[in-house]
Amino acid sequence: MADVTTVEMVRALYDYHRWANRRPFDVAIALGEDVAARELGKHFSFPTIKGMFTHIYAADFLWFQCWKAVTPVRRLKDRDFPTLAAVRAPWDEFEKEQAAFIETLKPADLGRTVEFVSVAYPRPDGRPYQLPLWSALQHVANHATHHRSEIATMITMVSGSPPGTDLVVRHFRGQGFPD
Amino acid sequence: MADTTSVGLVRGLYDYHWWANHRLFGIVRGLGEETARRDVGKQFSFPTLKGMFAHLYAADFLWLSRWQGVTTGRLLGDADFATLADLRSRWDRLEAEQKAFVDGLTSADLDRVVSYKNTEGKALAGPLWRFLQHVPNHATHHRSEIATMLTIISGSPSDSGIATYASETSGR
Repeated sequence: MADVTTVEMVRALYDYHRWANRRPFDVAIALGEDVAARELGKHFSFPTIKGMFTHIYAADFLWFQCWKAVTPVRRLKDRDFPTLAAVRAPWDEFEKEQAAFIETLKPADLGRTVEFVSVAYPRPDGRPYQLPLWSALQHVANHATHHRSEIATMITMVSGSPPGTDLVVRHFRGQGFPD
Repeated sequence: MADTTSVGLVRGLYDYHWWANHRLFGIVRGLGEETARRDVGKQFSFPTLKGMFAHLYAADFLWLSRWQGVTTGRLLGDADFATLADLRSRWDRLEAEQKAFVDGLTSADLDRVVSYKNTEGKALAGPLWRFLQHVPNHATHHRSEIATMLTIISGSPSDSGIATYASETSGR
């Protein structure tokens, strides 16, 4: 068997990313729209569970355009989605496009430079951030993990600690192990 | 030029992991030992900043031992560290060992099957590369909680995302 390749590692990371995003989303949907829209505190990056999910989707959506060097970029907002349930269908469609991009990555693509203009953390000189595609790919998955952690804390506050989303949990569930 | 080999990707990820851990640890040290021991709330995985960092250390320690084939004991925790300063000195030594391990990896090592018993004694096994991905991802989850706790205590800390890391460390 050949050694694992960088591209295979990126694909596995995105398989995890999609699974881990969906798991707490299903929990939040079951809690209902009132809970998803409830203000849970200004110390979170976004004060509602719905706002946190739309941020994860919006970041994935934005970075996807950066990966493909699409300009000008289109940015999604929480107010674009009247309910949490309304996020699911467009996110599903987007995930298919994102997965297709990840599936067709070639080793030579990974070192390509990607440009990104941050609204939250703008550079003082206004220039875009530049980073290799593989860092940008890792960034998006890592960024989602950060905000899913906040969602887990929020769900703990409103109903109790949700099922885990650790990468090893995904790995062993893929092999038929329970949590 | 970025090293886009599989081991290059792993080394880059760990360089980020150490950078992000140090960034937040430095902020918490600046707030002092008393603040680090304050109970910030039961909604967090661990209720204090010190406890959260102790858990990050403990997970890194446990997984490095598993990768090295060393039999592991219980998961360490907050009570195993007298102070943040105590944690720092042990963590510096662990990071040096972890760095030597990551620097010594070859692409063939990444597929090696790591067998271990989890903290409940169940025998598990998987490829090393999957576990190498797990540890920084796990740390990001808990650093997010640390960032929320810091926001409650003193204000939102500076960003510790990979894009910021890549920008600050590449000079681009």
